[in-house]
Amino acid sequence: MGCEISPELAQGALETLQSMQDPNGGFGGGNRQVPHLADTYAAVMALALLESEDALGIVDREKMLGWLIRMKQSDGSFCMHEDGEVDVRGTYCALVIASLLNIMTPEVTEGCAEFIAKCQTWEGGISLYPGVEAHGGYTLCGLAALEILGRSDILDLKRLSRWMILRQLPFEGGFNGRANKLVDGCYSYWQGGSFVLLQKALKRSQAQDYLFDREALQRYVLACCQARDRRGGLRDKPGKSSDLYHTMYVLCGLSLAQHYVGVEPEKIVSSTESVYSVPVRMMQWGAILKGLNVLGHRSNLVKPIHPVYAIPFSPLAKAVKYFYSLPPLAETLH
Amino acid sequence: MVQVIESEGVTILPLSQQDEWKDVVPLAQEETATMICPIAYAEDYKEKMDYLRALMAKGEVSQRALKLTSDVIEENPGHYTAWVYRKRLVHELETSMEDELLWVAELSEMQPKNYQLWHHREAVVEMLLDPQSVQGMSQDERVAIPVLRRELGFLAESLDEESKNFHAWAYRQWLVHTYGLWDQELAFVSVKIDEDVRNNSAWNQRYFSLIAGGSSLSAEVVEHELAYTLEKIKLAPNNESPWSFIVGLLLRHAPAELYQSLLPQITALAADEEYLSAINGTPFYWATLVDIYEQQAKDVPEKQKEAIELASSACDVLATECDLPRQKYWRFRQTQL
Repeated sequence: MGCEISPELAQGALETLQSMQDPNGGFGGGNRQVPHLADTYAAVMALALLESEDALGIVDREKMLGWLIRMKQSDGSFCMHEDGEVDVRGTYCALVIASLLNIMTPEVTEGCAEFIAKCQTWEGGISLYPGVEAHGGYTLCGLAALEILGRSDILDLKRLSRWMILRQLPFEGGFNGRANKLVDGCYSYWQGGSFVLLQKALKRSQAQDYLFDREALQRYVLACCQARDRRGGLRDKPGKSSDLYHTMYVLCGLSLAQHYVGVEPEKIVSSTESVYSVPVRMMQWGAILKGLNVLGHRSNLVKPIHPVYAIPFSPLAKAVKYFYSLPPLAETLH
Repeated sequence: MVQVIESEGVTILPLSQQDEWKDVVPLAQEETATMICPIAYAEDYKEKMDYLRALMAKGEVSQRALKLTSDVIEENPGHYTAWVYRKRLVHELETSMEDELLWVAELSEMQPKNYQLWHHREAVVEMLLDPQSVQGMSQDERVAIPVLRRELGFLAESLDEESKNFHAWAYRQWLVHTYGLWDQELAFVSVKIDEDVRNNSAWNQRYFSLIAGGSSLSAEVVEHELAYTLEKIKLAPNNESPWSFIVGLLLRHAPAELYQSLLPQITALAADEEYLSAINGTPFYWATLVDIYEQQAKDVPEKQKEAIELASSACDVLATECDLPRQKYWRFRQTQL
């Protein structure tokens, strides 16, 4: 988000992450741990943030693909880890990883969109798996995964947006994750990011702006989510303490509310056949300067991030360039 | 150096000083000098982890391994690798599933929001009671089976404790679905809604139990739900859940009922002196009108023009009076009519 990563820190991060890669593919939460999709997602994105070929080069793509396929279920969903739970978080993590590493194959993508569609509930939001309650975190997972696949039209977008808009609370300005629940800073990304993705799904332009109230969200983040103690960091709400999870997602939400990140409707590439359509579609996203809307002092401004990958554009572009210069493991997506 | 721990008058020696563990060479977490963000583990936990890693590396199946996973998980329930190993141990050692369930239950009370724990609980219950074995039984017979009776009781308690616990509701869905406990579910859900009419998780469970694993609803059920929901709206008009529930249900199962039944009933309510100000003041009423008229415009060609005008003026009310913070959305919605 604008901070320098020192060479020592970068080297330390690389070696730490290297020790967590499983010999049979994927990353675990620590060395000798079973590889886990959420940890693998975090590891791959962290490596991308290091912006070096050395870091990107440690990922074993062939093994990764094999592991992803072993986690894949017959209904199009993914298991979080061997013997683990199956839900839409898995679909999101798997597709983020596969799309970035250039290992999107039909075996990875088959049935994913259909599974996500089944997670859309009577409320309109997306749930962890079919049947359970619509939820902000899982809505972003579903929408972002569909954006990677170029399939967001499989959802009932009208019901989805109707549910999403009610998640921003009129008084607080922040988002809740489910109906009749309290606001929580982390949904600034999960729900705010969903609005950014929805913008493209609905083919809305920058001039039309996002559907949610960008200033109200920034006000909530700036006034309520900054921990006032010496430790600093960002938090769920006043009275709670800060942690790394909330710091990450509150900051991402702030970024998305400040910048207009989108793809203008006339430029949308809808092709989804070739594996090379993936980087083209993903890298179409960008911040449109005209859409900048910063609440308060300009020192509040943070870098724009990609709504799917939740990291800034420059390291993302480098990682995409690196992995898509390597031979793909399959030519087509379907 | 691991310290000797005194707990409740009992001295606990570090594993390295216990005879039982003499044959195991602990496997430390590989740490490089440049390791970043190391977690400051307590020394005794770190030692247990080192022994656990060693046992996992050689794939040992033993009681001491099982005990060690208990210790590690009790201190760090998010340790999914320990859970994976434990599941295998429980299976291969043929340990008492009753004991396993008791252990998980105790842990659930302390850790109600942990993914691994609820997942493990499903696996244990399934090992304890084969879902095939309840086929052909009546609902009363099923809920009388000790495991199921206890799980339902445990869930009722968990949801008393925290009525919107996502994991508890998800687990309840799994239990109801796996063992066909559909007939008792609606009564349970109705109690939860009576306790808190704003409990959206309970409204979601209501839909789940009505559908009961199928995909359609009978006309009687639809009619009953309409009347039921309307009563709940009267209790607290500015409550998203019932409004959203009835619109969502009708859109999926009986869209014509939106304008044939729901519309006259809610407009009557909006004209009723007792509810007039509350109903007209809530954005959910106007938002529901938008949904209803939009459906009517789609279904009934001769009413199309009028319905679109009515939907549009409901959007106006929302954008200018009732739901100002969301006006951008209502203006967009207006353009979509």
